[in-house]
Amino acid sequence: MTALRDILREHDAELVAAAAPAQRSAARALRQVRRALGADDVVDDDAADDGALLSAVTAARLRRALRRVAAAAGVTPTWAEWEAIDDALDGPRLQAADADAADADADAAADADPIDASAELARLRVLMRAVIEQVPLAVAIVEAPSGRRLIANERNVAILGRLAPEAAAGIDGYGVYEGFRDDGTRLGARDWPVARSLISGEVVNGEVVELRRGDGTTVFIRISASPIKDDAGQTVAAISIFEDVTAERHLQDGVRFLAEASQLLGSSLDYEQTLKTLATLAVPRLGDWCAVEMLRPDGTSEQLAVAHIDPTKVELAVALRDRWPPDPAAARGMPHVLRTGAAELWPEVTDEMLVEGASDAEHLAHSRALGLRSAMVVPIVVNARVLGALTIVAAESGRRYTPADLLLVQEVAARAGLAVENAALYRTTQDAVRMREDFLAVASHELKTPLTALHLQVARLQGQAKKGPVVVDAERLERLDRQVGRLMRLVEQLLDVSRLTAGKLALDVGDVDLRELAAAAIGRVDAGSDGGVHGGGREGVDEGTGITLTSSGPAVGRWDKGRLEQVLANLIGNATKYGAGKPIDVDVSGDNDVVRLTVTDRGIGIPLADHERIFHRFERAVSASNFGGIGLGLWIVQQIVAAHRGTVSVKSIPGEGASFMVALPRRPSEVSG
Amino acid sequence: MTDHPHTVLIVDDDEDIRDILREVLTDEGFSVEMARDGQEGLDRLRSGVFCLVLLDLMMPRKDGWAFRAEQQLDPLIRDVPVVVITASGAARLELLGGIKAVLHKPMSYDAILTTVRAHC
Repeated sequence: MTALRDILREHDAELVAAAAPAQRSAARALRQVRRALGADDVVDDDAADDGALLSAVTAARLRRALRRVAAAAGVTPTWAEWEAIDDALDGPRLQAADADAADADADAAADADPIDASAELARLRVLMRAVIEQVPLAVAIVEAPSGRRLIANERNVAILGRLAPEAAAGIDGYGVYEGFRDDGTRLGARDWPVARSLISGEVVNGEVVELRRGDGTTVFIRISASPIKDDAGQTVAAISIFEDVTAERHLQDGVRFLAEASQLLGSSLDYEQTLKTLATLAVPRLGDWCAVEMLRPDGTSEQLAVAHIDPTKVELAVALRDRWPPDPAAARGMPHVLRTGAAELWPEVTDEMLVEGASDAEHLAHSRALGLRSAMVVPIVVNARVLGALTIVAAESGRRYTPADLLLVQEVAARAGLAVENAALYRTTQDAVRMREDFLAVASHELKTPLTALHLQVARLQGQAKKGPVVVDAERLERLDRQVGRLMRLVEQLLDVSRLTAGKLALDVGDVDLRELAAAAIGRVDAGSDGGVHGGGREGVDEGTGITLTSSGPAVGRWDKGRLEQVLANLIGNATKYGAGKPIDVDVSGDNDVVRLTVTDRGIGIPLADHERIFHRFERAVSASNFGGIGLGLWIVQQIVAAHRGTVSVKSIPGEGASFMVALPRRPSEVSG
Repeated sequence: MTDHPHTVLIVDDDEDIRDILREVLTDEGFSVEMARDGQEGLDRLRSGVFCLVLLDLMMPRKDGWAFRAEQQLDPLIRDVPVVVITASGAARLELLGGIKAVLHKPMSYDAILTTVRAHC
């Protein structure tokens, strides 16, 4: 087959003659063309050719002559050959445009051809070259019908990672690039937009393809392609223009993720399950890894969720964490975020970081194997309180996180924080409602019993009064009074609860002698009046209860007398109620700062597990059916003692009794806190 | 101990309630025995003849539910009718088995008499 370079060689003289009068320049230029096309077997003196000056007119004449002889020989120069020809003819002239000017003038005078058009074309070509290189897009032009690459600007390399030689040769080589559609299917060689433009003349407008590059990183590219046609409508080439839309794509993914996460976080009050789902949702949209760490009430933390597309990697991560738990004092990373509440962005996870974070060589090896590249750790915060941390890590995707990514994850974490808070509030509310219901049930039960007795007493008296004069003896009156007294105390307790709950306990402080107060409280029990707060079980069990009062040191302080009487009545009442009828000791001992009241019984005692609980509202260590009372006594004691800046505690061995200790500062107003 | 066919057994841990019920029923000519909890109630029930048991539910030692459970297992006392007196709502009443009626505190004088008369 006759090639262009053969024609050049054979018709050299004719071509040179056509370029008259600038024949010397033309001859040199033609040598360069031949060399560019690989047709020159003669090695010329490069220096001589370097300075070849060729006017636009001469260059145009040479192009016309070339086209003519090639057409005569039945040869159509390829796009690439024209490129090479243009390079050879235009290059020298561009370098020495001024020197060429005189030559050009001479050409213009000697030749009547419409040379200005050619000069314009050459200028346009230079312009096009400049535009192609300067435009912030990857531009590639391929030849029809082969798909051989003609032009590819620098940005191709930046986006594609490399210019694959296989792809340069033609359409069938395009498959070397690993492109994927949104649905995850891979593009075949002929599926690439520029191939479709070549083959079917399709104009492709902004198709997004996920490209996995040779180094394992992924970019999203948006490609437009269209055929280039000659005057006859024949496709002579196709152009492909594409850009890296990875950041845009990530932003879109992020916004979509944020929307989904918001919906998810608002959908359930089971926040643990919700956060687990959130982690799954974040992968692979936000990163290759997502982990949720939550703080426990004791300040330690636990990994609530860890997600990766590959379940075996999740297992590995969990195993690694078990073996090398994170150092709570670490200077950066998740523990640091939990401590400080400050978000961290690591655009590049360096090997130094892995070394720093590793406990030993084996740990380091495992860390390196995970291939972590970039990371974000953001706190899950509500009202400046850190609840946990959300960690997003890029590994195999090669993604690098930016401040914009960090903002997005912070937004998600803020919503997660609200979800956790909502769930906690809901639980608290539910607990409170349940507790209130329990309280109302017990309270109504306790109120109804004396009310029933009272009601029936009155009804009986009314019945008797209808028949004749009624004799009301002292015993009956005392019984009526006792029932009214029970009701009054219960109502008083309920009011105390509401006052204490609202934080409205105002202390009426004066000089109070706790020893005297204790003696008086014991006196009330001994006198047989119902000094305790307990409801039933008065007869029998209480008989023979001996209460001993001991004291030492000063016992006077600045306290609320009425409230401390309540404390004594509650504690002594409980001791009587739960004391199994055995002796009770009350001790008051003071020093310069504190007076301690201890009430000890020898009754059923309180299991250790209940020691804290019994101070809660509506709680009792024993079931409600076994003892009367509404479970408020100790809570009220604690509230009153706390209002005096004191403390109350319990020691007990089940079966051997219980000892309640109240420590009151003698001058509460001088105690800080 | 009495074999009077009109004897009512009152099982309640609250002294005031026991006393007023005793007074009300005695006024109307019924004979009354009393127990302070479920266990004492069962002991009394086994050692006498009763036309009715007035049973409280929330009691120490052995509550009303336990009382009923044991009563239903004992053929000698199983058929003595039981009326429950409670301050609670409808809590677990279905677990009490075939009781005759429930009197909710604070019940009226007449409600007590009507109920007791229906069985004694």
